Amino acid sequence: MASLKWENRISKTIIHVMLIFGSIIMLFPFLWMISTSLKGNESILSDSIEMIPRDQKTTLIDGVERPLYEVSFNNEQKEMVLLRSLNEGMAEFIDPANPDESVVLPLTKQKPVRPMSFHWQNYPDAWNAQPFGRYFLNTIFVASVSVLCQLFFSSLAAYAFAFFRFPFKNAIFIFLLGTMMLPQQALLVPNYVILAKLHWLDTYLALIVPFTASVYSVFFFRQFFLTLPRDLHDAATVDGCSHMGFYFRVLVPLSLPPFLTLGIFSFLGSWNAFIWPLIVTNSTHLRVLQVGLAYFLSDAGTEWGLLMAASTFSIVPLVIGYFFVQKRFVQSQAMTGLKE
Amino acid sequence: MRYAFMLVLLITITGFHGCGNLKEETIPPGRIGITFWHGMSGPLGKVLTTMMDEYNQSQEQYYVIGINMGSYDTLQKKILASVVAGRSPDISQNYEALTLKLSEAGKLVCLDDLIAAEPDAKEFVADIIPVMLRNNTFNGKLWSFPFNKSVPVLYYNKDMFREVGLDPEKPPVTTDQMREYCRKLTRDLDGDGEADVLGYGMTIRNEWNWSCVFMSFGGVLFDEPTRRVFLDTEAGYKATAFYYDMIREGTAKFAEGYDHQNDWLAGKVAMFESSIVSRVFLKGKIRFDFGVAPIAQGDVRPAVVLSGTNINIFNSGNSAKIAGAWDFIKWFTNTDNGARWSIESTYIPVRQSSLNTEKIQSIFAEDPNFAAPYKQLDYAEFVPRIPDWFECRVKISDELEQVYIKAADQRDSGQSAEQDLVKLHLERMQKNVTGVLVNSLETLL
Repeated sequence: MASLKWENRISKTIIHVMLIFGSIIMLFPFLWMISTSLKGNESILSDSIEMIPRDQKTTLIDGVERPLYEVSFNNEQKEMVLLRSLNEGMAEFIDPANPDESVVLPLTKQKPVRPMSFHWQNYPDAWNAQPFGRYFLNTIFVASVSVLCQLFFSSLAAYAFAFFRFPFKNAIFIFLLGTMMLPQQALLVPNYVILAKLHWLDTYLALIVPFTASVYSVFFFRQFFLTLPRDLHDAATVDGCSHMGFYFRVLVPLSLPPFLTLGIFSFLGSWNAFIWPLIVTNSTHLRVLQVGLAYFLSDAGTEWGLLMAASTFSIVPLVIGYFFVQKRFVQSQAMTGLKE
Repeated sequence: MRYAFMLVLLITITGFHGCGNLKEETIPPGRIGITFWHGMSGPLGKVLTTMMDEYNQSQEQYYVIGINMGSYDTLQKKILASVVAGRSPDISQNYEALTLKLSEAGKLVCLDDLIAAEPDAKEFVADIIPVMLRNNTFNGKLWSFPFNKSVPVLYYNKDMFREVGLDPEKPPVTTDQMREYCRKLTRDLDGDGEADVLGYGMTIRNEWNWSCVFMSFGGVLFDEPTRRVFLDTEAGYKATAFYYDMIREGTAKFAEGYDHQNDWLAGKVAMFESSIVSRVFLKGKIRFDFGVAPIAQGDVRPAVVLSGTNINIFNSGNSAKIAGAWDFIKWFTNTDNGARWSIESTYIPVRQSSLNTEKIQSIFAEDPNFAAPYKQLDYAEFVPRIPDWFECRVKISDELEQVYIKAADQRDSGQSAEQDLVKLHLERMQKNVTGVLVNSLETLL
C-alpha cells in the first residue's frame, strides 16, 4: 500500500517537473518580450542574457561615452573608466576624476557597473508613435464581427452538407475543399480587384466580409455534425421543427466545442492579420494593431524596445480574454476529438 | 444563442453605420488632394511626415496625404493590385524594376513633359546628380524622379583601430587592405582562446555589397540587349572569395537581417558595411569613436551600387492632380528641402545645388563622417532595372548564403580552404539566374 502511494507520488512529481519545464519554455518568449520592452538600446543589443533590465553606466571622456567598471587593484575597489582593450585580455582603465593616470588590468576580472534601470518610457513612446487606441478598437471590432459571422455562415453551410441530400453534394464539398489548396498570396490581387469593383476598398467591409466564411470552418463543423446522431434530426423534423429551429434549438447547443475552438482560432487569426488589412485600407482610422506594430520595423533597422512594448500591450486583451474562457477552451479542445 | 446572433447583427449594423462618422485626415475644402503611397517607417518616416505637413502648410492649392504601407515589399504588391484594379494613388515610391513596365502599360506620367513646361527646364535637369538622372531614364525618357537614394558605406570603430595600432584616419580602401585590417582587428580579449572581436560584420544576404565588390573587380552583372549575366567569371570568383576567405579565417562574421549593425554597436565587430541611412538608426546608440568611409574596392575600378527608390506620378487623367503631384515632387527635391531631407534622413540629395548649400557644406566641414558617401557618387552605378531582377537577387543571395555558411563550418571544424566550393556555387548562381531570365514571367505583367 505504502509503495503504491510512493509510486503515485513519484510519478506525480515527474509529471509536474515535466509540466513546469514545458511551461517555462512556453513562457520564456513572453517574459523575454516584456523584459526587452523595458530595456534601453544598449542592453537590448548586449551579448549577455539578462532578464532584469540594466544599463551600463558611462562617463563622457573626450566627447565619447565610455563604460564604467568596478575595478579592484592595490586592495581597493574603485569605479574607473574603460579606456581601451589591449591584447591578451588586458585593458586600460582611468579614474574619471584624474584622467591622466591610467592602470592596465585584466579585463575579465573587473566588473562592469550596470545598475538596474527600467525604461518605462518605451510604453508611452510606442503608444504615441501610432494611434494605437484606434487600432485596438478596429482590431476588436473587425475580429469580433468576422468571427461571429464566420461561425454563423460556416456552420449553416456545414449543416447543409451534413443533413441535407442534394445532387452533387460530395462533388461540391470536394470542390470547396480544393479551394484550400490555393495559397493566400495568389489570391491577393484577384481579391483586391473584386473589392475595388464593389467599391469596398478602404472600408470595414473589406476587412470583414472576406472572412465571414471559411472553408476550413465548414469542413470542421461538417465533420462534427456527422458525429451527432441523425435520429435527433429525424425526431425534430417529425415534431415539426423547421431547419432553422433545429439549428438553433438542437444543433448549436450540442456543438459548443467546435464553435468555441473555431471561434478562438479565427479570432486569433483575425487579431494577427497583417498583409490583408494593410493592402485593402489606406486610411489610418481603418488600420489594425498588426499594421501599427510594423511601424517599428523598417528599411535599416528595428526599434526593438518600442516594438516589444507595443507587442506587449497588443496581446494584453488576448491574455485577459484567455483567462475568462480558459476552462471552456480546454474543454472544447478535449471534446472535439471524441466520437460516439 | 439566438440573442447572440441578434447581437452580431446589431454590432454589424452599428459598426458599418459608425464607419461613416469616423474622422480621418481630410483634404481642406478648395484644395486638390494628392495621395502618396510610401514605405517609410520609423525615424525616416517621421522626417517624411514632417516635411509633408510643411508642404501642406506652405501653399493652399494642394494637400498631400501620405499613406505608409509598412514596407517596400507590401508597397509593390499594393501598387500592382491597385493598377490592375484601376485604383492607383497619385504618387508612390517605386523601384526602377516596376517603373519600366508601368510606363509601357501607360500607367505613368512622363516627367519630361512636365519638366519642359518649367521656365528653367535646362537648369532644372542640369542640376540633378547625373547617376540619378540616368537611373530614372528609360528608353530616353524620364519616367520617375529620384527620391530616397542611398549608397553603402563602411562604418568602423576608431577606438579599436587605435587599440591595435592602426591609424584611425586611414580605413581600408582595397579588399586586400580589408583582409589585412580584419586580421589585425580580430582579437581574443578575455584570453579564452576564442576571438571576442572580429574584424568585419556582414549580413548573410549581402548581395548589395557583393555586387559592389563584383563590379569593382571588373565584373559586369547584366547585358541588357541579350539579357545575359556574367556571374561565373573571375570578378565573381574574386568577390565571393573575398568574403569566403575572411569568414573561413575567422576574421569576419555574418548575421541575419540587420544584426551585424547590432554586433558593431555591441563591440563584437570592428567594421561593417551597410547603407548610409543606417546612421539614423545608429544615432544615439554608438558608445565609441567611429568613422564612416567609402567601402573597400577591388583592383579594377571603383564601383558602388545605388539603392533606394524613386517616385512615380500615376496617370490618372486628372491634370489638376498631376500638376499637384509634380508640384510636391519639385518642392520636396528643391535645393533647400533636398538639403534638409539629406541632413535629417542621411539619404543623398537629388540636386547638386543641395550639396553646395551652406547647410550641407558646414556639416561636411564639422563632421567628416557625413561626407563619406558623396565621395562615391562619381562612380555610382545601378543594378539591372528589370522586374526579374528581384528574383535574380534572391538567387544570387541564396548561393552566397551557402558559401558563407560552409565557410563558417570549415572554420569551426578546422578544415582547410576549399576554393572549388566558391566555383561550384558561382556556377549554380549563373545557372539559376539565367534560368530566371530565360523563363521570365515579365511579359505577363
